[in-house]
Amino acid sequence: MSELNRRDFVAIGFCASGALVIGCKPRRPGAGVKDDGEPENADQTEAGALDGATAGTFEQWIGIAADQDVVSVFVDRVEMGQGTQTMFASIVAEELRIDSANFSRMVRPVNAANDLRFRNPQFLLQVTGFSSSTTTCWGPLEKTALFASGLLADGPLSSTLADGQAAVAQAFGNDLYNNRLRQAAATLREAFATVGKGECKNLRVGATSFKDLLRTQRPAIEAAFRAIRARGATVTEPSAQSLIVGKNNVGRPDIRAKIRGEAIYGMDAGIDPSNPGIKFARVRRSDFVQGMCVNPDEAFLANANKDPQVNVFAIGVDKDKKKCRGVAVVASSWWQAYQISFGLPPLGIFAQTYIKELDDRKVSEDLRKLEGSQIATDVGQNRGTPRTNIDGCVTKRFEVPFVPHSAMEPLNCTVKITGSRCELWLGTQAQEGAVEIARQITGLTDIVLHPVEIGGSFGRRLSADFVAEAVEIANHPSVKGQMVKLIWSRDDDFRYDYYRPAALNVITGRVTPAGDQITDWDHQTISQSITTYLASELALSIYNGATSAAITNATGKIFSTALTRFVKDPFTGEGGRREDLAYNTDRFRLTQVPYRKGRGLEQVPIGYWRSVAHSHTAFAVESMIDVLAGDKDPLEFRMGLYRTSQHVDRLRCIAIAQTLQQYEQRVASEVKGLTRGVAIHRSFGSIVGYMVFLELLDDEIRVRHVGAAVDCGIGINIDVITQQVEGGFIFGLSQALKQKITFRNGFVQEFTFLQCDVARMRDAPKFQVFLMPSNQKPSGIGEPVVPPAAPAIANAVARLPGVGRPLSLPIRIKNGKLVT
Amino acid sequence: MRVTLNGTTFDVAEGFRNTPLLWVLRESFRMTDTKFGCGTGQCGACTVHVDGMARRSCVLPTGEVENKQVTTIKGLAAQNHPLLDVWEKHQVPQCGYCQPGQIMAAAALIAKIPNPSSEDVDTAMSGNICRCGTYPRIKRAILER
Repeated sequence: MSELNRRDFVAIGFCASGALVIGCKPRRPGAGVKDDGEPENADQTEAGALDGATAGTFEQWIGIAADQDVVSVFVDRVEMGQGTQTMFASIVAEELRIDSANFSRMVRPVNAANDLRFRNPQFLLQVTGFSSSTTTCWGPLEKTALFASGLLADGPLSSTLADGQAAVAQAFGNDLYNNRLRQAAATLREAFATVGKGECKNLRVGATSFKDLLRTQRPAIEAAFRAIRARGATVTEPSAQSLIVGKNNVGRPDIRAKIRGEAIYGMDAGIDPSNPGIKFARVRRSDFVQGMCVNPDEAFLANANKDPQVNVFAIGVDKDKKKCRGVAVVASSWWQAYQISFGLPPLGIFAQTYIKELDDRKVSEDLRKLEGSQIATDVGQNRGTPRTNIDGCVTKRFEVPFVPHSAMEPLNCTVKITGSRCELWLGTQAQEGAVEIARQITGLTDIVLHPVEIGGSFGRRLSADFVAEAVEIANHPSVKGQMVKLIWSRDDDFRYDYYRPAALNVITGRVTPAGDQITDWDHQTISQSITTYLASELALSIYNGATSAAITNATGKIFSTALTRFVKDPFTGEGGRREDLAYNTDRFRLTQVPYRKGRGLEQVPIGYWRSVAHSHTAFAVESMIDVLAGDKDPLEFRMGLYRTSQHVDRLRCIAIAQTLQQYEQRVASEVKGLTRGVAIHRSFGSIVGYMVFLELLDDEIRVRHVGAAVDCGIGINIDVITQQVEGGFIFGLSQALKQKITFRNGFVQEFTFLQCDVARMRDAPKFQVFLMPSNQKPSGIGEPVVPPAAPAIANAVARLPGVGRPLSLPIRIKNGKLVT
Repeated sequence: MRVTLNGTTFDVAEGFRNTPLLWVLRESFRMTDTKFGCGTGQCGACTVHVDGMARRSCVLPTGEVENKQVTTIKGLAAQNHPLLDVWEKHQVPQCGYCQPGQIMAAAALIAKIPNPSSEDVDTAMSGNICRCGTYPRIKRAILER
């Protein structure tokens, strides 16, 4: 049980419906959480400005409403398929001692992703990403639920209030419990005042103290809990025997509707027989990456369309009215809007020379020119500078291309502006940015965000470019007041993505003859800084005019937090930092070449992509470990380096390696004739190891078997974790073998799945997933499952006879040789 | 022209003859269970049955389904098609967006080959993309139902 933070408190209240709501307010405003889930040493984050900005808001309200006979768990992180709702509900169910048999009918996740009073404590913003959901909510949810469990304990409150309190006190400690009560009483009024909207309207606040509240509301509390218990919540002493957490039979509550076509995604919102007035929009943009269009004149727009039911207008117009983002076509059918937009005469192009000349091969050259650059910033060094020219040093260069997100649901945003209110139906990972954009463009303050299901994101929906387009369209005088749904075509999705940046990782390594220590490790990671890019004017220059200001403010709000909290972009070097490597390394250096203005490569729009820099640093690091292993067994070699290491996670890594060895023995007969590859990588606080078995058939790499050993702390929901492992490996396989975006003369060359394919059914291997037993706090799972996939595959390919070591992605083979 | 959709026959205006069936379903019938994924027949999210055969509705002119039986995932659900329960048992979906198309493709497969091999599944299902990577579970659901 995690220790209660002194500043935490539990608040308790009632909804209008009479439901009991219990919430937890974690830490002080501004406290961060490191990627291992520990509260950050927050001196640098305790900036007065941040405190001021968040004062008076309820940082995080994760609540349980005992409403009739179900427990509602408010989930403030969006569900993109990663299982957040199930994870949250599982934690609460565990603490309320609701067993798995009763889970699905008693625990109801409520989508609260539209409620901006919730904030991800890691980023001080309402944002879902960076594998932080379970990590950051485990503590508050667990405490909230445990508190409820204390109230529930041993019979009705009327007779055993003291017992209930005692149970809580036992769990939290007497002083802390008393402290908690005082705090709860003192802040109830504030908490209730801030929960005065929506679901929790008209909270009754009659109490001046927590005790009074319990007394006055006792019948309601009792009734609520009686109802819960009647439905099967077993209220017993907490035991070592887990009911939900770590169990494999707790189904996901969102699955049934998804299977039956009943789930409403952003794409579907508002399409209803009762809403015949909905309009659909598509935007035709510059063909160039980031290019602007010439603002079309009246004649162009008039000629573009003769149908009075269709509206055609420019959006993102600059203040001189010379340039625009593109031309929007709004019609009563998206198919019609798409056809009209497709048939528009060519739009004049405003593109600077560097855009017209943009070529990914030149980007690659630029990356190589930056190798050894004097402007490099050391981000990690230990026990002396690594030597690079002595006997035994090996240098390898690992390169990865730009890759797209390609979520299955194309980007879309539905907006309706009526009177003083702007409503958005939107799947986004960054709700605050979207609301800020709507506020800036419309000038309205009443912005309502309706949550919807999200058909995948992988980081793409952290950017709000498509939201700005949709709001600007809906705000246009010709359509204002109507519900307008902007839908991107698939080619829009490919061509106007914020790609995972191309990167070059150069590693020089040297190992002792015994192979038990890396004597020298010099790693340069050369890539654009995503955070710097997204906060820079370059990202904003995509837009002009009013929208530009909106993007500036909103994007700045999102990303300045990260920028002010960290001196360096924390995401560029991740995966290569000393703390990321559990191996015994003596002389160590990681260098990240920072963002530079004035070169070509920083002009490419880039963004966060599932696992961010780990997606390429892990490929380099884990490939390099195999290179250094030479003729030794690469798994034994890793274990030797872990055994002599001082790294805090060395034992976890050894356990993972041993588990992979056991897997190999188990599948020995099935994998005869196949080639083995291994990679183990630590990210987002979790460690994932893959052992793959593959073969080469007609120049096609076919991964047949995968053993996965995963340590993500306490496994909240085993099946959700397993889903993430299977899917995350396949996501990584797409990167390893398929995806690549190229540019020629400023154009994106790939804009269909035929040109930039992803893994398909025939590419999927057989899995065995092993979850390592752990009593550590839960850590991330959505992203840590991606990074080790590419190096595990590459390490196997390197052992295919005569093929060679893959130094770039995607790995392609022709006539039995690597295509470089 | 007359089109039978999930068992009910409708008149569809002649003007829609060249419109892809997907948009007629979504925007004329206002049925959102069939999904738009790529618009070019490369991802399978829009898969429906036309007279029992799996077809990509995003590239299928509505005129081609005149006097034919069109079934969407809601039609399959209304028939209590056994695959839906199997899908739930194996907890297949993650984001779920591609799943109606996956299930339609799988249902067409088992209608044709009641006991498909792993290779049959690879062949029949490789036209349907799932970015979340639920393929192992889709295969398990089809083979172990």
